[in-house]
Order: sequence, then C-alpha cells, then structure tokens
Amino acid sequence: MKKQNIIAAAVGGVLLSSAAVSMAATELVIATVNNGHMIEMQKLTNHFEEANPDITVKWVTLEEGVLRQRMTTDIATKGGQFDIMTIGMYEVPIWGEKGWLKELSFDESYDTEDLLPAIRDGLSVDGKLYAAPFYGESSMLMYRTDLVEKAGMTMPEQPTWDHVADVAAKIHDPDNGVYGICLRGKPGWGDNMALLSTMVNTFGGQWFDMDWKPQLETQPWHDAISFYVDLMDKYGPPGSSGNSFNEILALYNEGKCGMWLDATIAASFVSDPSQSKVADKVAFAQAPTKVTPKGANWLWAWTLAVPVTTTHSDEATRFIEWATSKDYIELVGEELGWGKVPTGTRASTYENPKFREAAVFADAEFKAISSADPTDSTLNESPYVGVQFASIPEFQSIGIAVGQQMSAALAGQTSVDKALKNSQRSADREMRRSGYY
Amino acid sequence: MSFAQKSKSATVIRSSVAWLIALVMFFPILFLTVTAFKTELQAIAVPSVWFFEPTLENFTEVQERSDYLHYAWNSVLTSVMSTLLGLLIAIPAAFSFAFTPTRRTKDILMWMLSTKMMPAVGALVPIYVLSQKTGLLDTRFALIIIFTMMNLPIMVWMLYSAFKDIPHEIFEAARMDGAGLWEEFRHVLLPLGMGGIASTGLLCLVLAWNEAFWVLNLTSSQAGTLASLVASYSSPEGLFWAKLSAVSVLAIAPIVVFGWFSQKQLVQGLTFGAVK
Amino acid sequence: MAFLSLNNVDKFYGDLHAIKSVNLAIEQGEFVVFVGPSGCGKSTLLRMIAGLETIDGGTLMLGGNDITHVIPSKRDLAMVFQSYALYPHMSVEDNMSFALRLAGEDKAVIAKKVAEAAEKLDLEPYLKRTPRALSGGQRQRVAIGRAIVRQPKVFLFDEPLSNLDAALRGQTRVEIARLHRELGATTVYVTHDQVEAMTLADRVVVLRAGHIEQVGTPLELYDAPVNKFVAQFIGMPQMNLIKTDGINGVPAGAVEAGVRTEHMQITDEGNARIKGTVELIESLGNETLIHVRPDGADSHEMPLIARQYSRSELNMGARVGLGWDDSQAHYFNTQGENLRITA
Repeated sequence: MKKQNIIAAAVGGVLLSSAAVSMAATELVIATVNNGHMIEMQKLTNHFEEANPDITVKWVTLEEGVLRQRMTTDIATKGGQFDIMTIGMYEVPIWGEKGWLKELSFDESYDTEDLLPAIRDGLSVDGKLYAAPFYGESSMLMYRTDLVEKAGMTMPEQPTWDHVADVAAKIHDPDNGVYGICLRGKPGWGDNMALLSTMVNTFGGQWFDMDWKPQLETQPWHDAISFYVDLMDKYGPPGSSGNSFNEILALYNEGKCGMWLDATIAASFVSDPSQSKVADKVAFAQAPTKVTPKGANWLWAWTLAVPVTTTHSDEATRFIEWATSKDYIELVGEELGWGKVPTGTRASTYENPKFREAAVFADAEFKAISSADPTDSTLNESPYVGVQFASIPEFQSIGIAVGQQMSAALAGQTSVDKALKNSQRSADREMRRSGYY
Repeated sequence: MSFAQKSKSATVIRSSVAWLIALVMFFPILFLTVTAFKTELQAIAVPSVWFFEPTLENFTEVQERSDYLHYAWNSVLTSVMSTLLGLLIAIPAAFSFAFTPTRRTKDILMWMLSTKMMPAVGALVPIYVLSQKTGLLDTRFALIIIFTMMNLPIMVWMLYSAFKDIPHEIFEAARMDGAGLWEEFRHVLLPLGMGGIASTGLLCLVLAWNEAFWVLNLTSSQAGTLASLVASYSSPEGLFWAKLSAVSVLAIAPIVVFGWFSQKQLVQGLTFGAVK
Repeated sequence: MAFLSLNNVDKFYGDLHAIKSVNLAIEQGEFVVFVGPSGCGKSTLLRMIAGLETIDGGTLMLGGNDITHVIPSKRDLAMVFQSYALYPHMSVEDNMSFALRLAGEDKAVIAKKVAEAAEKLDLEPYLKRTPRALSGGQRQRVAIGRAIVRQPKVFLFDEPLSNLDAALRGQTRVEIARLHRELGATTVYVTHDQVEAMTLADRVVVLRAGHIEQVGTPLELYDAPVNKFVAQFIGMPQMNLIKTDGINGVPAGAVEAGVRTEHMQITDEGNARIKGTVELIESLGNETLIHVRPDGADSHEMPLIARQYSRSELNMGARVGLGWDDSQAHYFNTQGENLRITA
C-alpha cells in the first residue's frame, strides 16, 4: 500500500513537473539573416536553452530585403510573429523613435559601458538603448601584400585615395586576371551608396546641410564620384556596376582583386584559407582619406531588438542579454574558435589576447570602428546621425534613387554631372514632400 | 538528293535541335546539381570548375543546420492538399463552364484569368492582414487556401479546355440513358476528362511546390515550405553558392522524382482522353 | 387521348421565336418523321421532347403524364444521335447496358437483354470492342442497340443516317423499318431527307420556320399538299410551278399552278396551254425527264419537267407543247395555299 502511494506520488510529481515545464515553456521566434555570425548563434542556442529550460528558440532565416519588409509589416499590423528581430543600425533610431521597439535594460553584469560608444550611441534615442549590437563592422582596405611588394610600393596604415590610385595603377594586370581595385557598384542604399557616402565624406562632402537641403551637386560630391568612376574605369574589374559585397568577395578570394575597400567582416573571410586562395597574402589598412579623415570609414552593426508587439518581452530580453554578452563571445571563442567571434561590439573583445592572436585583422578593425563617429562624420556640420547613411526614414528611397544614378554613371550610361543633377533633383523632391523645408 | 535522304537529314536536324533545346533548358539544373557538390571556393571559381573531388559537406551542413523533413513535410502537405482542394472546386466549375455556357461564361473565364495578371504583391497587404486577424498567419492551412486560390484560375482554364474536347452529345446520351448529374460526372466526365485532370493536377502540384512569394511572406517558424528553406540560405555577407545549391537540390529532388514517375501516367492519361 | 402530345409548345432563343406554338398528337406505336429544310426547328423540337432543350411554353404529355419540365433522365425516352455519341471509354457491351446498369437492373437480366439486342443488330462479335475499333455502320448499330435494350416509351432519332454513305444509308433505313415493325415502339425521327421520311413514316410532319406546315401520311402529303411549300418539299424532282396569267381555264384566285412531273404531258405545239423548247433530256432507263423552257421565260427560271415512263423520240431544241389534266393539278393563291384543299 505504502509502496503504491510512493509510486503514485512519484508519477504524479513527474506529471506535474512536466506539465509545469510545458506550461511555462515559452517559444521565442527570432527573425534573422543568413550571415556567418548568425549561423553560429543558432548552433550555440542550445547552451541558452539549457540554462533557461523555460524557453525554446525558433529561428526564421530570411533574405535581407524580405526580412526588412516582413518585420515592418509585422510591427505595422501588430502581427506579433516575431519576438526578436535582427535589424540594422539604420533602422534602430527610426523604429525606436516611432515606438516600435522595447527599451532594453540589462543587469549590471552585462556591462553596457563595455559596448563601443559609437555603436551604443547609434542604437540609442534620447539615451535609451533600443537594440543590442550583435556584431559591428566598419570599412577598411584589404590589399594583396605580394602584388604591392612586386610593384615596389608600400601601403601606409592610413593611405590616401591618391596613393591608392597610384598603387592600383601599378598592380593592375588584367591580362593575368588581376584588377587594381574592386569596389561596390551595385545600386542600393546599403550597397554602392555605403561606399560612396564614405568617399564623399572624406572628400569633404555631406548628404544634407543644416537646413536638410541635399548637397549632391556640390564640389566634393562631384570630385568624389568623378574620382570613383575614373578609378574603376581604369583599374576595376569589368561589370563593376553589378558588384556588391558577395560578388567582390568571390573575386577577391579567387585572387582577382589587388585591393578591396569594404566591410571589416570581409577580413575574416579573405584571411580564411578554407575559402580564400589568397588567405596568406592579405593585409589591412584604414579606409583611404582625401581632404578630411572624418567619415572615411563607415559604421554598421547588426543588432537584436524586441518589437513592442511581442508578448514575451522578458524572455526575449533575456535571450538578447545572453547573445550579446561577454560570456557569449567567450563561448564562441571556446566552442568554435577565437577567429569566429562576433566583433565590433565590445571593447573587451579587442583586449582579449586569445582573440588578438587568432585574428590578424583585430587591430585594423578596432581602429576603424573606434574612429567612426556617426554623430560627427562630415567636414562641415550636418544634422543627421550615421556615417554612410542618414538615419531618417526618407534616406532609404533617396539612397536607392541616388544609388541607381551612380551605378549608371559607373556603367557609362550617363555622365557624372548628369547623374548628380538627377540625384539632387529626386532627393530634393523627396525631402520637400516630407516637409523638411 | 533523293526524297528519302532528304527526310532522313531533316530528322537528324530536327532531333539535334530538340536535344540542343533540351540541354539548354536542363543546363541550370545540371549546374546547380554540380555546384552542390563543390566547396564554396570551387563554386565561385571563374571559369567554372568541372572536374573536382565532389564533397558532401554542403549537404551535411544543411542537415545540421535545418530540419529538412519539417520543411519537406510542409511542402508535401500544402501542395497536395491545395491541389486536391483546387480540383474539388475547379472540376465542377469547368464542367459547368464547358457544358452549360451562358452569355457570361466567356467573361467569367476572362475575369478569372485576369486575376493572374495582377502581381501577387498587389494583394499582399490585405491577405497578410486577413490571415493575421484570423490567426492563420504562419499556418499550413493558410498556405493551402492561398495556393488553391492562386492555382484556381489556371485549373479552371486547363480543365475547361480539356472538357470542351469531350463531345457534348455524350453527356446528352448519358442523360437520356437515365444519368443524373452525379452519374454524368462519375461515369462520363471523370473517365473522359481524366487526362486533363491528371495533367492539371500535376501542374498545380508543381506550381504549389515551387511557390515562394506567399511562403516567404506568410510563414515564419511553423509552416515554411522548402521554398523558404532555400531562401534562408542566401546571405548578404558571405559566400553561400554551394550551400544554396545543395539546399536547392534537396528542395527540388522530391518533385523531380515525382514528375519522373508520374510521366508515364500523365502521357497515358493524355492519350486516354482522345475521343473519336 | 394520344400517347405523346405536344400542346402549344414554344421555344425562344432570346428574341428568336424558334418553335411557334406547335400542336401534335402521336399515337402509341406510331412512326412519326419530322422533315423540313435546315433551320426549320425539327431537331429543336425533337430535343424538346427529349428534355435536352427546355420547353418555354405549352405542355408535353406522355402516356397521360405532364413531362414538360421533367429532366431527361426521368422521361424514359431513348435517343439515337447523329454523331452516335457512344461512350468512348466503354466497350460495346457496356455502352448498351449503361442505362440498365444505372437503373440497377439485375445482372442476368442485363446480360440477356444485351444479348438479344446484339443478336438483332448483328453485333455479337463486337461486344468486347470499344467504339473506336468499329466502322461507322457498326457504331450506328451500337447506338440503336443502346436505345432498344432499354425498351423506352419512345425512340427518338436525330438524323441518324446522315453520317453514313449512300449504300449503307439505304440498308440501315430498311433495318430501322424492320426494327420498328418488330418492336412496335413509338418513334419520332428527324431527317432532312424526304426519301427517309416517305419510306419510314406512318405520318410525316413538315416543319418550316418553327411551325408545322402539314401533318399526314406520306401519300397524303404527296397527293394533297396544303400549300406550295409542302408541295415543293415533297417529291423528286420538285413539282412544276407555272404562273397562271395568260393560261386558260384556271380557277378563280389562282396565281400559280402546281403540276407533278409525272402529270405534265408533252403535246404538239398546236393549241397547248404552254409552248416551249426542249432544253435537256435525261434518260434514266425506267423513266425519262424532259426539261422544257417555256417561251418568254427567263433563263434563270427553272425549266418545266415532264416525266415519262417510256423512251422519248424528241430531240433537244424541239418545239413542244405542255399540258395537264386539271384533276391532277394544284392551284395556289397569292398566299401559296392550295385552293383544292382549302376550298
């Protein structure tokens, strides 16, 4: 009799506890893109789930454009499909201001102060943090040491655009399938315009003046774009107007590019022997400058944010706290190798000797990221936040329209003057319509 | 040149052209399949590498990273159910259009077809909001309904033209023989229209299987089909051609195999419908 | 009361009044043939009886029941279509037994009835074949077989012989006549061929533009057509029509005289009613058709034809006179009505 009672109690207890667990188990749905760091995060999620048995995590991986559109519709229609969203630095202040995102507050141990200030500021509105950086990136120049040496040239740590043009001329050897320099040309506010904005910045230009008037027909824009079109004409690979990150990454890893100015994340790919033929011949320099060092390298971060439409904001915050913590970086380092840790978010990462040893690009990247300042990235004062973009909702469509003009100029379908004139006109129309002036 | 020689060389030319066209059309699938067995580095090589040691690494990675069976099951369920549901609606509709036409029949058929002329994205917001308000977002049920709606115009048109080939008098004969509507349907329409029904069903199965737009927009973690699995392998930053190829091969494999096996039945079904 | 009766039956296609208040009574066992030029509504009328076309006005009675709005499958009629309309996916046997199987008839009974019909129609060797493997004549017989196994109240035939060649047509016509004799079934038969009408019918119904011109036995129609249309429609070659002005001894009110070819007599020019020139002589062996162009007639008018059952001595271009016996002639008034019948 007694025995039976015990068994019954035990069975009941098990049932109860399992019921309790299944009752409390919260499913977090996270929308994300298929980038390397995100894939690693998915692989390591079981560590989080073990530590938080009341939470299970479901991943929804989408193409970047679809992701943006899905997240916007989901918030706008109060769909509540996603508990955590992977969004870019451009959207965070805009969405935060609209009240679409929950303010994030973490424990002391999270050490918010450790987040790189430039990034942290870019993700905050009125001092409130609306997203946590998962990984950040700047831009830097990747070049082939073997080619530069052979040409009898050197590459300073902080080159100028004129020097880069000289080097490109020397190492350009299309007969042997090597092009002096590869740069983005595919139209898009996050594609060719990210690069071109930084070029315009260092040539002394800006998107808008303090009255929000577009500045696309000013001398610096003219100089920068002419220089870019001329440089690519002479020393770029054919079909550059269709190239963006992935296309150039393929070219570079095949050994076809002498230099490449792009996102710092590329450093980990081009120096990875499993995917790059030139892994042992790459070196890194800061993004080239012209009249000012301001805004020469961009600043971007993929971040995790909690939409206000979720019903699991506490659990979601817990996950973000885990995924963007120092411990997570440690976990990636120990589990997958220190070369694979998400960078560009915390000062502590760059102080870690294990990381510094594993990542040849560590110093260059840290320098690039810490020198970028989204609030002060132009020679003359400008009213917007953002280095290679302006964090206003209108920028997306302006960026696309201008990007198309620039791509057409690069392809030789129109002149630089005409492209800039058209760009100025459409930007002016957009800003006027939105009531900036 | 004799007539026989002439016709022989014409045959040779004709079959070479046919082979050429077939090869051109098949090439993307061949390239895709070959790429699936390359490393990422080989995949981006220009000119393309054709001789290499094949690797299963991409397939292993896909297996590790995603629950293929979950997506495949969703694909099977949504495409089969939507095809069955579609046939259930389209067969009676086409039956009535073909054999009891009214003055408005042509207009209605044109109107049905015209719905296919609007880009799907034009209906995205209302459909998204509808499915969200009804709690059907990210459910297979919603996809089945959408796929059915999406394929209905094509189904009705295909069945309509298939049924129109059946002489009207055969139905009248059945009617005179004492057949009611159901018997006409069961004993005349179904056996005589089977070829058309089979090819319509197969086509719609393939269309539903390959549908991506609605899948990408209406599903997230539960109801995604293989199309969404494929899409999730594209990346804004990083090389992914080989893995994307591998997952694409996995996505199209079931439907290709199915098409291969049903090919015989399909041809048989098509010739069976030949009357007179 | 008639077995099958149409009372003021109407059919409209939009604004077109296709069948205009038709009245017809058909007795049990009767073989009735609908004839008329194409577009006269004969097939429509048949399909209305079958139930394949709706009846927009009037009533249709069968064996004392109103079947005006009864669906075809419940009317218990059988129809043989011009295109045969066999079920291509069924064997001959299954084609013939389809109606019985639908009716849930006992299997043994079905087999017996099919065997009987097949024997009657010489179809026994073909029972397992599909229609595709049969000749036109065989398909025709299967279509008839499909109708007779059911033992319906009425047989409906819609131009059943028009897809057959001339020889087979004659043969099948005799066959149908024999079957009707044997089965004694009420039959409505549509044709545009007056030979079929004359040889098969107990009564012929002549239709024009949606209404009945005349109903009668074949010989009644031949001998006493009510009007010019019927007179001209029945008889091969057509009845001669002669304008009566200038001709002596015609009844009052007559504008045209109708004389069948065999009643047209060739005479000397002398004081004949009509004088003319021989234009053509068709010698068919058993009969001779002499085409005469009356004096003063336009070249596009039909010549007058005299039929003789003896060989003719005349030559083309000969001058002849034409005459007829008034007791064998029909005189039509301005409305085309036959004065002899209406008087």
